[in-house]
Amino acid sequence: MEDFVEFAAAAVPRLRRTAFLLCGDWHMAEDLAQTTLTKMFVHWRRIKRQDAVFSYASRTLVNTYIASRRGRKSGEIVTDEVPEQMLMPDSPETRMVVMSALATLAPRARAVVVLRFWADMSVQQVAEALGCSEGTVKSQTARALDKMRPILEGVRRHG
Amino acid sequence: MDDEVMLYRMLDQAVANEPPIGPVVERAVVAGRQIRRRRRIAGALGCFALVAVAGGLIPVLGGPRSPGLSATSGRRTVSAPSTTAPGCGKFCGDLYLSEFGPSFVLDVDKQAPAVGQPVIMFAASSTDPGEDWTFTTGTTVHDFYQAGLISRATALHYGKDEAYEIEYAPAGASTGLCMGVRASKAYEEVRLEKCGMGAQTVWFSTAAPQPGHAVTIMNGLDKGTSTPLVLTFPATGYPTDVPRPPLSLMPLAPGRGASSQQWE
Repeated sequence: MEDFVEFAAAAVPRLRRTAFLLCGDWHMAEDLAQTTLTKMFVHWRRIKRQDAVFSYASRTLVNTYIASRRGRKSGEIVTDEVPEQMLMPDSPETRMVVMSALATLAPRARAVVVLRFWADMSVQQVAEALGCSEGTVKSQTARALDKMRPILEGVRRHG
Repeated sequence: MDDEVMLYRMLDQAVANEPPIGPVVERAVVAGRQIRRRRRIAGALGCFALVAVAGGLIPVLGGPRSPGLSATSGRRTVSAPSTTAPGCGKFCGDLYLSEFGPSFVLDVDKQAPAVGQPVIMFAASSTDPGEDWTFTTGTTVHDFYQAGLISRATALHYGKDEAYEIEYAPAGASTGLCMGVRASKAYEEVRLEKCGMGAQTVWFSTAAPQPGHAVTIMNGLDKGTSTPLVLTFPATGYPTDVPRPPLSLMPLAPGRGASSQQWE
């Protein structure tokens, strides 16, 4: 199991950051990362043979996140409106603006944005991770960007 | 395209200054090993049961058993509503509020087994050992009084009530730390305290909490005042709030207690 520990130690910071962008809470992000690694540990021999462990980790993390949101009331309030006040691009408050913008998206759309623009995955990789077609990824990306555009515009204007 | 570049940059900034990370890998390995072991045992038992049934070795046992209750040498134990981490075994359980249902259960903040660690509610998970507790019940307030843990005043008022200590037991391992308080007063936060040191870690109710049978839970420090203090989740809070709202002692709401005071 040394190879699993080695992989997990390397993957956990990135997994936790991805989870944070998905759920918006560091404590929950750590739990999501831990649950993801636990699931991978159980099937490690099989996963290792597939030679795509990082991709598998992303897929498991997203599925774990979506499952945790399904059928459960969340403390996070999803809204159609974006915050009125825009912030400077490099200010510490940028995080709050980004998280507010992400919160306007549904879980799957949020996962698409995070995997495409933070995990830097291709459309094909995101489609595989989410178990949907490439067309769906492209349309969800476009819709998500449309929804987040007012915030991006505002930050650009002030930057 | 500009939007995409901006988004790359902003997402990078959003994860800057992250808090220190806990022992996630170690905990994942422990939980993963327990799941594997549990699956191996379940598989072996399944094979054994199949062989035994085929050979007529297992007699048919009559009579339904109470849900959430198992008998062990005359003592009762509240069993888990299926959310305890693997390896916790039949003595483990989770308390949850009727208001939220079993989706959110009693949890130790950051899973840390240390005196003073706040007790919170967290999303039920089969891999989170921070949600594992043991409830050794079948004893009354009077029994705890005789053991010198509870005052005579409390025993006089609530002597026949079911009393128990709720020990934090990640993955079924005893920690010697129980859910408790430091004093009996309103807004007193519930936290981990050393078990068996006094009334602060003893809790009691008219019956043991079970799925479908909600009760209000009082602390052993209560002396039987006109407005009893009971285990309460903040009425205006939600388990996913940040920072996590800790449980506390609050006056019993009129009637059978508020929805944030009903535990199963």
